[in-house]
Amino acid sequence: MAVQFEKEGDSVYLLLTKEEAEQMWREGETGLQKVAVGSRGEAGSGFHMCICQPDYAETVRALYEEILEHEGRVDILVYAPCTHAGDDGAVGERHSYEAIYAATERNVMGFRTLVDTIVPLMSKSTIRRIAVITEANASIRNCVSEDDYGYYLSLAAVNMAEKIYFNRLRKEGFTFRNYAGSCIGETMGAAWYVSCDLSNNPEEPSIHSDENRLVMRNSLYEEIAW
Amino acid sequence: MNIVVITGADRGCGQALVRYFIEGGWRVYAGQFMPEWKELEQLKEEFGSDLILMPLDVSDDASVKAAAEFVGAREENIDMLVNVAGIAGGAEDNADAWKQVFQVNVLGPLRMTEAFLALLRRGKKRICVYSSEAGSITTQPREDGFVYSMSKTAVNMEMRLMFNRLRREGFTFRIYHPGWVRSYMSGVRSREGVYEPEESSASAYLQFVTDRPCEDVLLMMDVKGEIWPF
Repeated sequence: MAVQFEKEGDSVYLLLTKEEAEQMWREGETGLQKVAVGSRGEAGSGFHMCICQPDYAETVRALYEEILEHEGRVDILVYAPCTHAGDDGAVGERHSYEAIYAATERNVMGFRTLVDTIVPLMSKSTIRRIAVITEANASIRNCVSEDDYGYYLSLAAVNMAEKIYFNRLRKEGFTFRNYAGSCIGETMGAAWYVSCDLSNNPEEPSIHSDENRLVMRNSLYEEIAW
Repeated sequence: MNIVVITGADRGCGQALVRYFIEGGWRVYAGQFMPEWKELEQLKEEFGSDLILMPLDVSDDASVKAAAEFVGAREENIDMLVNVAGIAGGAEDNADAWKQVFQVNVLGPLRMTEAFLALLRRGKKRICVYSSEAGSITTQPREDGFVYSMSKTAVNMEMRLMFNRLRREGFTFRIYHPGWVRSYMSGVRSREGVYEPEESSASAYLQFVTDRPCEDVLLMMDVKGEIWPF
């Protein structure tokens, strides 16, 4: 977990599920420091932690109202699906179909609810960017995992959802990022990739412009096949 | 005699596939979801003991388990599992639709594979699934219709996870995009489409029963034999 402010006056709303907040509370100071490191840096006063269950429309609506009141707009929406189905083994091993479904409901429908609710606030911004933070195993082509069905089915479905949003919203000026995090070390970080502008010449063929197509990139700026 | 289990066999692509397999010399266990739909029983009269009908709702754990016990009581092994059963979902694109479609299109093939895994391991070890171009993130042109597309992307990932575990045991996989078929996906037979179910299933049958030189690569292939990116 990392929070980065671009400049003085920026606001960051960090959304935590109830379980995530409870886990951080159990971890005590260590857990809270993970969040606080960035916020103490340049513009701590703009940091807000919110309990928000993305797959519950009421909590997302409350978030919408809060941001509308205090900020008036959202520039960038970053979504990182992270719910697993628990003891979710390989084919033929233990797992619960209900738990697999529940993981996808939270990860996938949470993304849908969040985007559908927040997009009107983003339309008030000139930046209008939606980013998904994922991992290289979200690639159906390259995935090497054998288990964790609830999680990996979610990652694939969220990527598809982002593509459909891209098709719908790109013409309204929205831009999109899909970043596959890795453990390669200090290379291109998610925050940099999410916040920087890319080639956006409307006359450029779409294949040459990252803004005119949806592409998954890793921390080495390599394109990863879906 | 080779043995195949086919889901979604009541009508459309599944039913056409039943006929091709039997004519190809296979014994077919056909999952019957809609007993009121009589065409499958007419096929039974035509083909006799080569076609065995069994009640099957791929969205229901108990139904899938009962089907596996039914086949297991009659056969030492099965050679192929073909997951055709699928639904498009209604006009709604919400959480309720996701639950309904996910249970059939995504968890259905997983339930079936796990319930029949012991029988498959003693046979020729091939698992096939009907997917769709709608599941290809690379080529997706739609601006709505999230639920169906996401379900097909998810089932492609599901096949990848299975492939990663079962390929080393000798299992092989087919992900099939049937083309735009005048099918019953929305509940009634569509008037729109490019292919009749019989045309699409003829290609599916050939792809399912034919070995490939590159079984170590997981591919989504369409009715024309062309490869689709994920």
